[in-house]
Amino acid sequence: MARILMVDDDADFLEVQSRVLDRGGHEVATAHNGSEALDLLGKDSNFDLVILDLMMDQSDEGFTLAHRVRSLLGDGASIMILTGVRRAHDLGFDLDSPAGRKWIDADDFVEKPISADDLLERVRRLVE
Amino acid sequence: MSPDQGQSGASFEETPRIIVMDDEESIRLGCEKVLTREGFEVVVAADGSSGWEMLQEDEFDLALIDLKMPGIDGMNILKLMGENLPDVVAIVITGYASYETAVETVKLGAYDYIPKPFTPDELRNVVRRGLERRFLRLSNRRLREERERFLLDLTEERSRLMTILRAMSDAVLVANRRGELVLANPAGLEWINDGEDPDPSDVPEISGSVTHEEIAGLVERIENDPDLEGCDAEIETEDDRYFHAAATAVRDDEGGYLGVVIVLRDISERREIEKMKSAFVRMVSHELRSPLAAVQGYLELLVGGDVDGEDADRMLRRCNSRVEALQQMINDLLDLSRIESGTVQRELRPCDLGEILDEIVQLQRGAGIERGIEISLDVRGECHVVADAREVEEVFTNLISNAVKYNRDGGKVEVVAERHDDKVSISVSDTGIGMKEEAVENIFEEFFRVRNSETASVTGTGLGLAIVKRLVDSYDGDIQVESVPGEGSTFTVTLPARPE
Repeated sequence: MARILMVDDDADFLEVQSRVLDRGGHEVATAHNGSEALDLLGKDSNFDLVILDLMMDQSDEGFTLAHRVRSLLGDGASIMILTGVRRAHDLGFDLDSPAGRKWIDADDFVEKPISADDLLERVRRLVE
Repeated sequence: MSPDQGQSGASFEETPRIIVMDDEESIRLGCEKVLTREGFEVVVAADGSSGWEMLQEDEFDLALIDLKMPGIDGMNILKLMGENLPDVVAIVITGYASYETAVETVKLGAYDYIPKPFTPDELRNVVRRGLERRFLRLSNRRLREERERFLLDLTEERSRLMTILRAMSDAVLVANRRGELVLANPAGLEWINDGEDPDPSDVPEISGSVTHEEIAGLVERIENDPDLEGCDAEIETEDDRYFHAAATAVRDDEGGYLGVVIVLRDISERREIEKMKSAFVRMVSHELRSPLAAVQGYLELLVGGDVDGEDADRMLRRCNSRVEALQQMINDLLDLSRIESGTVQRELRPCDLGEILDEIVQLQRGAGIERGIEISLDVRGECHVVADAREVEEVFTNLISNAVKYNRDGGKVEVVAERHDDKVSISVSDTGIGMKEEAVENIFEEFFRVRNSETASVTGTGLGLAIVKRLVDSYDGDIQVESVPGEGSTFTVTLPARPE
C-alpha cells in the first residue's frame, strides 16, 4: 500500500506502531532519531509518508527535522507529526494554533497515545 | 424676668454675669440692686486693680467701668480688656460726659457709655444693648470657631484620605458622571495621560478623562446601565503585565449616578505562577503519556492475538518495565511536591557520610559489575552532617546511579568525600558520555533529560536531579556540575558540616 518512515526515540512506541502499520498492509521503515532518519532518506527518499515525533531531543530537532525531511521527500509525500508533546509550546510554537502548525510544515498533527485503528485511518487519509 | 427671655432679646445659656467697677459705693449698690433684679449675676469692685483681677479670674459678659478710679483707672481697664478680653462688652460710667471722652473710650473698645447720674431704666437699657452685643460677639466667635474646626477636619480628612490613597499600590481612579477624572493616586496616574504627568503633588487636582480603552469600556458599561453596581475586566499591557480592573458605581441616596471608582491591581505575579503551573502540568501529562502510549500499543497488539509467543513475552516484559517506570515517576513527582511544599517530616540527626556513601556504593556496585564499571570511594577526614539520613541517601543514590547509568562500559565512578573547614564536599565523577553546555544549564530542571542515541537505552523519570537539587538547597547546601562531552561529568555537593 504505502511506504512509510516512522521516526521516534521511544523504541517501544516505534515497535508497536510499526507493527500496526505493517498489519495495515504498509511497508514500514524506522529510525530512532533525526540523523538516522536523514541518513536513510538520503539513500532512499521514495516514501509516501514520514511520521515524526517532535521531541527527539530537547533541542528543536523535531522542528528543523520536519523541514529537512520535506526537502528530501518527493513531491507527493506527506508528513505526519505524531507526538505527545505539547511542549512545542515551551519552544514558542503553539500546535493548537493554525500559525504554529503552518510553521512546522506538516500535513497532519496527531497526539499520543493513539489507537491502532485511529492511526491506520489517519494514514489512509494522507496517502490516498 | 428670666434672662433667657429678658429685655436683652438675646438668649444666654447661662445667667449673664456683670461686673461693676466704681469707687462710689452708692453707684455699686444701685447697679447691683437693679441688675440683680433683672436676673443677672452681679459682682462689684471698688477700684480698678481689684476689678481687673476679678475680670481675669472669672468669666464675665459685661463690665460697667467708672473712668475715674483709684488704682488702675477706667481708660487703662479698657486698654487691658481690649488686649486680653475682646469679647467682654465694656460700658463706661462717667461723671464728666463729653464728646472727647466718648470718642476716646470708643476708640479703646468701649461699647457704650452712661453718664452719671443715671436712672435705673437708663441702666437697664444700656446693659440690655450691651448684652445683645455680647450675644452677637459670642455667636460670631462660635461660628468662627466651628468653621475653623470644620475646615480643619475637612483638611485632615482629605489629607488622611490622600495619604491612604498614595500608600496604595493598587491604582485608584475616580471619574465623575461626565467621565472626567476627578481623583487619582500616584499608581493611578500611570494609567492616564499615557503615564505622563507623574507629579504626585498634582494629586488630587488632576484633569483629563478616562482614555484607556478597556477602562473606558468599564465606565461606559456602568454609565449605561442604571442597575449595574460594578463590573470588572482583565487588562494585559504592552509590557506583558496583567491587571485586574474593577469599576464600582457611585450613586446618591436616590440612586442617581454620580460617577465611578476604578481600582486596578497588578496580578502579573499570580499570572506567572499560573503559567508555570500549567506548563508543569503539560509536561507531566506528556511524561505520563509516552509510557502509557507504549503500553497501550503493546496491549492492543497482544489482545489482537496476532503475535507469536516469543514476541508476546518480550512485549509483556516491556509493558512491565514501562509501568514500573510510570510508578517511579509518580513517586518522584510526589517527592518533589512534598519537598517543595515543605511537608516532608524530617528527622535531623548527625549523619556520617562515610558510612552512608559506603552503603550506597556497595548497593550500586551490583549494577556496575554487569557493564564492567568500577566504583571507588574515598573519604577524607570527618565528614559528618546534620540531616535526615533518608534524604542524604536519596541524594547520593541518585548521583551515583546516574554516574553508572550514563557511563560507558568498563568505565569508572569515583566518589570522594572531603572535609573543608565548616563544609563537607562530596564529588561523584564518571567517565561517561558527558554533556554539552546547554544540557549542563538545564540539568536540574524537572523532566529535563539528555536525549540522544547514547542515552536512548537509559531509563529515568527526568526528575531525579530536580529532587537532588531541591534537597541539597533545603540543607543550605550547593550542587555544581562540570562536564566534558565524551569524557564524563562531575557532580559536587557541598553541605554544612556538623558543628564540632
